[in-house]
Amino acid sequence: MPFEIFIALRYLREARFQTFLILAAVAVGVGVVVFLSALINGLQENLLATTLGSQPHVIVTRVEAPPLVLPDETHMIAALVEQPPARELILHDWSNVQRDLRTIPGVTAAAAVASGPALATRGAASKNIALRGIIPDEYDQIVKISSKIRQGRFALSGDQVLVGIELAKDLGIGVGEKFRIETSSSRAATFTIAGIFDLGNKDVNRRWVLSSLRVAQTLLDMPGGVTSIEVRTREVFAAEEIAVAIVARTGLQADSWIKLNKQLMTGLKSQSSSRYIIEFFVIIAVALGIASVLLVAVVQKSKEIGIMRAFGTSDRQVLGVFLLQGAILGSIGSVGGSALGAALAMAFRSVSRNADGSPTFPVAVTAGLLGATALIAISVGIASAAFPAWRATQLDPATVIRNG
Amino acid sequence: MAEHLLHLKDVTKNFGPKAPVLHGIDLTLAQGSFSAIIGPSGSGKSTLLNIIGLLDKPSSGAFQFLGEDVITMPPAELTRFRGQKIGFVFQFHHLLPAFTAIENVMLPLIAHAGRMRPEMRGKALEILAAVGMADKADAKATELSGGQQQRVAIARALVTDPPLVLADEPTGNLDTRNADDIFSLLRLLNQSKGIALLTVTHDQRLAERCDRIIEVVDGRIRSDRPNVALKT
Repeated sequence: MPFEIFIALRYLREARFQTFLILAAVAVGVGVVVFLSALINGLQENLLATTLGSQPHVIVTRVEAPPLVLPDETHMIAALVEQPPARELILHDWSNVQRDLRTIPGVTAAAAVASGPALATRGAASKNIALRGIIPDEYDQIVKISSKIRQGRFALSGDQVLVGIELAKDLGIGVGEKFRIETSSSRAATFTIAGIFDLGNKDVNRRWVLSSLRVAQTLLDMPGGVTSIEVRTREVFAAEEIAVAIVARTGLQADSWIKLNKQLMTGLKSQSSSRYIIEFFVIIAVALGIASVLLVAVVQKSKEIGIMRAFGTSDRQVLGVFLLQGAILGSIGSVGGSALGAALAMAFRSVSRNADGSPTFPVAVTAGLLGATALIAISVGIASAAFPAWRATQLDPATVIRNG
Repeated sequence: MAEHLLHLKDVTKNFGPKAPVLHGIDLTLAQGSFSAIIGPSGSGKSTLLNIIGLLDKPSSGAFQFLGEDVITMPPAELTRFRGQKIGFVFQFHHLLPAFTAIENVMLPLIAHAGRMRPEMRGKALEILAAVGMADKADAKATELSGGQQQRVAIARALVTDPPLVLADEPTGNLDTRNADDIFSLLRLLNQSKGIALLTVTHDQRLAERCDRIIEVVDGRIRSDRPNVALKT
């Protein structure tokens, strides 16, 4: 056994009550960091999953022309503000654009969507809907509809459509039943429900009707055209950079989910900031605890350190004895803290549940989180021990042996 | 004449702007010698012992130990040199309380080698037997009496087979009987192992049992004489 480990372990064992207290403090600190990280990560992952469960990472559309403003005679106020016609927003050469988008680094999928407002009616019930024409296999790579079908199946051939679970309730219809869709261009058709989906977003579940692309193009009067190309990126948080690259490449308008959900992003950033501030102060408290215990140990053992120096113990060995104590406190404390963090996470999962008994959101204590926290705890242990260890090397053996 | 172990020439020691604690010390110690430094409190005995023990450096003068200039030696090398060449026995034994008697004796060996090795226990046990403490090898330092602790401290000083052992009032904390026993032990080890011993003591009676008596007064060597009475 190396000299430094032999001495460090014995010193920690000798002051076992003090060691136990500081280990408990490190474990509580690590436990708080583990639990808080798992909680905030879970919360943020849940928020992102809910948001991006029904939303592409980037939406590419034609650049909207500015509204036409006709001034009155005095030129002081606008007499009329005319929005550009919807026809001007249709992408006709979309297949070329789609092919081009797929070559941009970071883009994993691109799917065309023809979408517009419509009215769904069944008997006396009618609802405003968003009719979205898609190519099923392509669109499934953007929003994973196939895994969110609650009844029926993921099929869009002929007169088949998919509807959200809320819309199905509102219209009182189920799989295999028929209803009518009418658009603002006075085109209408009757459709059969192939499946009912739940995208985890009430508004989307209440408004979306998914049909084949060709059906939507016909009903919305945009033969051969689409309203947008929706893009999925490899890295969720790279969406804004990729949107900028798309604008530069195509000259079209590209809006990332980050831009479209500014409030959510502000919330996520605030959560992260709060978490980092709390963790920072917890780590500082742990570091000060370790440093103070080791500083007291250096003072208490100054005579012993002097004796060891007298019989030939080098500065490096004295330094090692105290740095190792910091590392050992950090290591053992991180093991206890990880167990505490995992226990807190389990307790939270059992307490925080939805009405149906499912967890409100996942609080996952992952191996990566535990590894990162252990690394931080050991580093903090060593860093906290640095000053006491340096003080120990500065002791003059002759003086401390004589005076203590 | 015995070969020189160490040689100090015109050594001076100052602590800040105050008057020097040691002036013009010339001292030679032979290998295997048994000497005492005596003198009143504050005369500079301990400072001289610290310089000889390489725990402190002279402000001026020359110091050779086994032919090596130890004043210009780099600190890390000096620490290693001290560990190999000098053993220390202090008035208050200074055993490490967290360790057993045998572990205390092994510590210098472990520090020098960098790690604990199985053969070290045998070596430490052998030295403990030589000081009559083999049966207390696994006792905690705090479980031993004052005399026993000092015997273990002597074993710790001897375990690296140093050519010199420095003892600062080694019997100052013991009753007369224990003091006589410890001094007899030091004398025995000096004779059997050929280790030079230099002790600082206030006890004139014990000093008279050494081969050579060096008297330090006001930072100077007032007298340095062989103990004629002992030799006759």
